[in-house]
Amino acid sequence: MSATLRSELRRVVATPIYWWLLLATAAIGVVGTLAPLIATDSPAGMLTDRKLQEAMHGAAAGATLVIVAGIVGVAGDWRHGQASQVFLTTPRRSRVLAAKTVVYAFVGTLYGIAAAFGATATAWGWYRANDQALPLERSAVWLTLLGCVAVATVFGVLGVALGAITRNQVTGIVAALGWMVLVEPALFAASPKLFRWLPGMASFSLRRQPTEGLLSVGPASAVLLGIVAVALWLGRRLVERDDVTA
Amino acid sequence: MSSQPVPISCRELTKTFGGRTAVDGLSFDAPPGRITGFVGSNGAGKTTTLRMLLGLIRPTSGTALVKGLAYRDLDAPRQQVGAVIDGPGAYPGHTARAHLQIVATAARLPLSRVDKVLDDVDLAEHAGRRVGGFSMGMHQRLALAGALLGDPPILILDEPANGLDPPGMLWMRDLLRRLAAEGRTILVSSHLLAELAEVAERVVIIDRGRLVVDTPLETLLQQGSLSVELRCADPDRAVAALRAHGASATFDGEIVLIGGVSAREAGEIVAAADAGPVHSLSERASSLEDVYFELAGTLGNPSGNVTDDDRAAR
Repeated sequence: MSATLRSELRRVVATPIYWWLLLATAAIGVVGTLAPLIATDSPAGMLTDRKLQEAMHGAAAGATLVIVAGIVGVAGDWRHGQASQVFLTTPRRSRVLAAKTVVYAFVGTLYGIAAAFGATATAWGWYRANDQALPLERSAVWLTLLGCVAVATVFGVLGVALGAITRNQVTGIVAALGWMVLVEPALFAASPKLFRWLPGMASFSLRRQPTEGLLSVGPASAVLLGIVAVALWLGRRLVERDDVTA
Repeated sequence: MSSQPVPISCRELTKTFGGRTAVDGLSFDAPPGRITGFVGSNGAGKTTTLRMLLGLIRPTSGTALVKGLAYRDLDAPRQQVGAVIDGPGAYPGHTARAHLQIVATAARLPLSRVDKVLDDVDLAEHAGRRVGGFSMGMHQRLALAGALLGDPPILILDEPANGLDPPGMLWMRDLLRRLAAEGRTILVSSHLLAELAEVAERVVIIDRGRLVVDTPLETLLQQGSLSVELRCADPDRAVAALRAHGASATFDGEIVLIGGVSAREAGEIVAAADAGPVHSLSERASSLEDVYFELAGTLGNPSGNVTDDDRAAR
């Protein structure tokens, strides 16, 4: 297992797309933080819990792109014929998937931290430019950042699961982003009480998104972890069962 | 008697995809220390068979074993079996060295092997180049480097000469001979029959997933009919005379291709028919290609399967 883990880590480090995604994560973290701050009318309004949460929520961008990284990490193997090579070395396919789960959880944490760093640095600069100090000690700041990093970690694993289920990069990425960005928000807007149980909405709760009607952190964590566990189980079954023909 | 398991063995191997049977009750062995050619037209089931041997495709029934075990049960498989299957399987953005280092790390092999195998396949000077910029021939060399990484005693190679230019083919031929001389068991599939005939000692021919022939190449070529090539002043008269004597005679440009009689007999018939003078008369031994196409008449016919046991019984 450790050899498979080290090999997977080596692969991530040697693959340019993961570095570009990391850069994009930090960049979107900056933009996502600036947008709500620019829209603030008065300097006093910048210090409310809601505004702090909105600003620090720019770090959530990392959580979105790490899904792409996880999907590429698994489904990409089927695109370039790497799956055959990987399973020739490690024929027990569940071991490969377990190694990828660990590695992309780590990658997710890294992306989350990069996004949190980008958001914090941007907010710190903006507050300073407006003769304010970013209150890092306030829970609205650090709990939001912590939530963003935690969600990024879980989303890295979710990406692995989705990649294993689809084994097609484009399908996986379009389905995941379409669901997260379009479908879930629309469903939640239609019936918050019913659709707050969806994974994206559960992640909003963990990230302290200032939105009404979300689950509290405990149930949201359970929902998110449960969905990821089921998706991983399904992905593992499909990868173990299906023939590798490319 | 040796208790060593056969390096590569398929028994009653069958694979169906949906309603289509890709491999149908296939049984053969690849004996140790030899190059076994695995021959069949496109879609005959070669790649599916090799993928079943490598644990990538699950057989519908039957067994595909390496050293007596299913591939997934092998301990340190890269050190036991090297495989070329569908190219190197490298991410286009990786360099050749990075790709092999990733494989070596997963296989618990020393990274020093990477430079060794890159050198073995003449890719050392391209080690730092991205695989996406490689030519088809370089892809094949990289795939071979991956197969050799664990210095395995068994090699399973699916169309390794695909995309190679003539010097590349020559290089591949020499490499296979060298690897076999080191005592490795090699199962190599190809549709380039002339290439395969240069290196293989044993041939397994399949068609529509079924075994057609499993025999030493030499025996197979001896089974093939001898053909005679004739050039003479009056080829029409020669052909008519040969056919009247029960021989087959066809035109290939100015040459008359004759079957069913020896060169001496053909010369006598042509002389008697006054179709001379004879400009040239020569016997041509069957090539693997000839035998393959002769066998084409029996392909798809279950009773056309020919094995060594069958030959011995005849």
